[in-house]
Amino acid sequence: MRMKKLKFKIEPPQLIIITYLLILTISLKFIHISYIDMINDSLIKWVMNGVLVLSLVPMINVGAGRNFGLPIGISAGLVGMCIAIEFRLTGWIGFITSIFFGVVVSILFGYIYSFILNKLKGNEEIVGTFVGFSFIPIMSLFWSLAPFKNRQMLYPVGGQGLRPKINLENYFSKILDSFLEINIGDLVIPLGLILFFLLLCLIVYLFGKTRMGITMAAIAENEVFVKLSGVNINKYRTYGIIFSTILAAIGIIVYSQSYGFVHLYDGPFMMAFPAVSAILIGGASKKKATVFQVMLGTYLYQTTFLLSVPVANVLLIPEMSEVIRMIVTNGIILYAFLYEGVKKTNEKI
Amino acid sequence: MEILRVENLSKDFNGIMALNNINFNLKEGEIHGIIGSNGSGKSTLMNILFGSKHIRQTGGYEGNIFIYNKKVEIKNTYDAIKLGIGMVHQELALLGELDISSNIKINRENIIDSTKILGNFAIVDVDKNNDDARVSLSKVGIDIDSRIKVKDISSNLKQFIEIAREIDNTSLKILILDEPTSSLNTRETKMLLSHLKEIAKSGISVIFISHRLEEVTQICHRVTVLRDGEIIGQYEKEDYDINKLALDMIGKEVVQTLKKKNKSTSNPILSFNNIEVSYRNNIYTDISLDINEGEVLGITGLAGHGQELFGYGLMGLYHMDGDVRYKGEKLNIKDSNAMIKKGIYLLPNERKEMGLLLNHSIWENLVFESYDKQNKFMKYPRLKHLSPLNYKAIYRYSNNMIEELNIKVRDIEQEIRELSGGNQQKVCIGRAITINPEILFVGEPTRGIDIYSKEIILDMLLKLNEEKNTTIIISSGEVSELKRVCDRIAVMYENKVFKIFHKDFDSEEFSLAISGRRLNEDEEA
Amino acid sequence: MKKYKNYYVPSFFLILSILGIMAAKVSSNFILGELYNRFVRNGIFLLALILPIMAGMGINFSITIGAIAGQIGMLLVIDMGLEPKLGFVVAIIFSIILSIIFGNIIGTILNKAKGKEMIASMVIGFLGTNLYQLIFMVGYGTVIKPFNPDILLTRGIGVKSMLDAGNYRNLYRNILPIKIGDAEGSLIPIIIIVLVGVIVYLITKSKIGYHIKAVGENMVLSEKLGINVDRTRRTSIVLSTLLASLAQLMYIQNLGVLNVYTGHLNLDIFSAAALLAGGATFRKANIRNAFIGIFLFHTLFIVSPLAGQNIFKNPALGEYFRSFIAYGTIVFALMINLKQTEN
Repeated sequence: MRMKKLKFKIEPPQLIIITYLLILTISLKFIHISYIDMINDSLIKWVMNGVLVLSLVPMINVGAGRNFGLPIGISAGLVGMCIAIEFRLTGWIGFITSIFFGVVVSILFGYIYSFILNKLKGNEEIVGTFVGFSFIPIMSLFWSLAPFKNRQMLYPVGGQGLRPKINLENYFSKILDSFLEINIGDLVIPLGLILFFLLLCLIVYLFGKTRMGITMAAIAENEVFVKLSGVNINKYRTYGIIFSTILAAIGIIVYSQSYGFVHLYDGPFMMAFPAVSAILIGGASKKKATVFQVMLGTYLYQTTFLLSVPVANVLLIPEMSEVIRMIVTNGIILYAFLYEGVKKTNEKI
Repeated sequence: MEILRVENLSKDFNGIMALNNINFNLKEGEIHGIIGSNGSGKSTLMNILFGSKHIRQTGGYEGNIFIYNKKVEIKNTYDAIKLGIGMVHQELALLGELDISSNIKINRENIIDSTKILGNFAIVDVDKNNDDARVSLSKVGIDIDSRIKVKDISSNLKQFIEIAREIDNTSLKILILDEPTSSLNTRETKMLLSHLKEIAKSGISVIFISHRLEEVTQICHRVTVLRDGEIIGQYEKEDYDINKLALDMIGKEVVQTLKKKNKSTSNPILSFNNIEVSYRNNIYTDISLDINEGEVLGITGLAGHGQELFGYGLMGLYHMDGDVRYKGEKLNIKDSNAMIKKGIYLLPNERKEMGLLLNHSIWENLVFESYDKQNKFMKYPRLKHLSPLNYKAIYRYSNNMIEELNIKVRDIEQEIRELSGGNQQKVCIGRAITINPEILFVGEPTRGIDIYSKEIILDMLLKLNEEKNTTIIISSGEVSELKRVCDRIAVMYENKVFKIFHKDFDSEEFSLAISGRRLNEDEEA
Repeated sequence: MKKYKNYYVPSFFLILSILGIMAAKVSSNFILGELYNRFVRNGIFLLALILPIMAGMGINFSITIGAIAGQIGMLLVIDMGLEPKLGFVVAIIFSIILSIIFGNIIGTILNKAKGKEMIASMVIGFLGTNLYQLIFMVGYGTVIKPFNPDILLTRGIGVKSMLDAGNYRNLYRNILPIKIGDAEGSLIPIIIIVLVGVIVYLITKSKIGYHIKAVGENMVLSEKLGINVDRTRRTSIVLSTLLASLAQLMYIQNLGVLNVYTGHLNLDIFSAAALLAGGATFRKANIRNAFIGIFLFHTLFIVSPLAGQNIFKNPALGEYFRSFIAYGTIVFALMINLKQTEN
């Protein structure tokens, strides 16, 4: 086997984020924030969001674009967790049951999603955005009407259906975060969490090396060519989209156990944009993304915003960190749209 | 008086000469015919004159263009329009959602005087537009309500409307018509031709491109024949001889056949029986062809006459319907993904767009999805699609292939895009060999390839045919090449098999067949 | 059959609205009053979407930026403490200037993103909102000194999230008064909206309008026919942004409150859905679609929370239902339109 060179191209998005990161790192020195604490937090944030970012990879690599319909997979994961909580399953059993049901539901959702996207090839991003958006109110109806019985998930007084934020403290909050934790002085390395992430990354990486993975990557580059080789394009796209949806479901479960809450209703609404932005920072293009880009991009993106919070607080403008985060997020996505090359008009006349 | 003169005009696309030292002139009020087969350079010449983007993007042209003895540079379409050049393309350039008058007056709209002050926001004077449109339409002999939307009229009429749009431009000096009669019936053609004469009389020069030789000889004052980017001959009206023109177009060189043994049989392996094919919004019916086992069959014809439709239809690139029999069994042609499993493979005309993964390595292009046939390329074949690849076997195979096929590369990791056209085509054929089909469709195998490599590629195809008894169907506009390698050549005309020629046929008859005519044919019925 | 295809979507909304009205059990006066207000607040937004659709750029989700121009204009006159009548005129002037600048920027960006204008315009809308927040949440009080410090939050940084524009509400009180349902308003805003509708109609009949339509149908061809494609597209976006800024002023005037950070949000989605409900598509839209759409869509919008309350005893369900309708309409339109362009 041959090692491909790890290419990390420095382009404006990367340049901006690295400069911003450096400025923040230096300013931390002046406001006396411990670097160790920041590193500890950054590792948690890395994996917490990393799986969601990883979930974009199969769809990008099968040529179905960046998954702006991330809320669909997330909703599946949320359903999985709600089922586990309903049965009052705690600890590892709760976590694993969540993943199991999350995966089952996400296969169903992914199949429906792929059905829509296969009908509208070439427009996956705008379609995905709106399918994702319209999924939020559908799921909200579900959260309100589904016959869950566990009091800890329902609205405490008044209201009908599930509460917007379900506390996981009695279930599987931080279960991965604290698994195989290693303490070296003040440095806390959440080894279990990181291993779980790396395991998922390895699966995605290995899948890319299989016959199917290689053919999928070719679909992203040249669909007609692959069709002429006798491959059922839509079937492969469906697999890729379902794979992405499954990873998104697992992603939100990992996210929620770190966060400590299951955030229903509007929770998944704006989760696609940060994930897309992170993978772009890692250097992914519209048609090709690697596991390495996911790991790098997520770390840079999340750490930058982690560091900006204390700095903004010291400046007495706490909103600032969030606003700048959104500017960077959207700015990077817009940049990608503009510089991926204008749709080629094959003019022969 | 001379209106246009072209001196030493040359144009190359990535080293391949499309036009070589062309000298040409056009007189005021003259109708000048330009004829030539596919790839003769006539469309390149027109594109240069009309300032097409494509020319500029591929490095511009060499040589000089003079209009009224003044040297001009045509950098874009806008320049061409300003110089008084108008062009009517074969593919119609009309806006279907707008009405006829708006199409004719586009970018020359009449404005209601009282709103002139609003500049671009001035209100368009619809009545005046309609009046102008009616005048221009009458010049091409059409009387139609100009308020009808263009999408609602027949495609024959559209041709006239496009010409009317160009004539409506009062500064028009040169009108270029690219195959204007191809979609017209006899009566409409007659009408158009007679009106073209009138238009020319009014002082507008016309460049008339057509492959219908009788039309060209009927209305043109002079005819220029192009072949392989060069001017082969130029004839004045009194010297016209249709048969000579046809031969000039096709070329007459006597060639040594490359094909050695004739192993072909006469039992059909694949037959198309009155099938229907549709592409680019056109439906063609009643197409039939028998392909014999073990033969090399050439399919040729002018561009757009459907020499590629059999292979494309089978692989699902064109929509195909009807009765296709493979080894006597009826094929389910809806299931184009299954064709490869059955042993039918296609290398398409558009090599770079559809035939290769340009950003991938040589070895990937050599073995792509051949794994069902070549089990050894999978590490754990039992895992089926989830098996990783066996790189050892693939690398060994690929290294052998590049040696055997003499593909000039740095190593098998090199990206395909870096290779020359000839080597790219060798990789394509290499993949076909890997997949080892029973029937191989190849489109334009030598297009865009240097002369030396052309020979090698034709040899490779013949070798495949001789050694593995693969039935090969080559669709190509390069008639001389087909003559050398094929057992039979089918000539397509208007998306139908017009005539099938066996070895040692009459060149003259062949060149006439290309433009849809038969020897000793009486006036077209 | 084909002839009636354009009416499928509006008919569907009509049926839904009628069902909603029956389930909501409210007086027609209430609905009429609400409709009057919503017509005044949203009418011009729908008109603003028409020209970019004609130019082949799909729904211009960056009308959010136009709305921001209106917000800024209003905020500035409130800050300066001008008289309502003078203030409104000054606000209009400010928003026109800003929206022409913004529109040119957006148009230039969208010309670089040909083929994916819709999603790009959406991200532009988000990004513009963020920059706007940065200026007024962080910039005001730190870098920018307001005329009137009262508009700032007590900590002295950032504009309050809500500013009173109550005195603008009475701008045309007693001029051509009418009573529509429960709402007592004036004929003036209706006249303004109809007038804007006429202007948009005339633009489609002008030279630039012809070019917009040509570019919308086929960019490559238009370029060949000598039309400056990029400039035409930019013009359509500038006009759209301009109209959106005027629409936002109408909105604030009618509401009487300036929601500094939220007043301009979501109107892109709802306006788009309303226009599509009126029978428009991503490639074809006209004034009639806008006027039909606003009544159908907003009727449904008014009654669905009430219907949810009556049927399920839960008004939230109605809200979910109506946001599903808004997004769902756009998905549906995407499916219909993209399918058609394929064929």
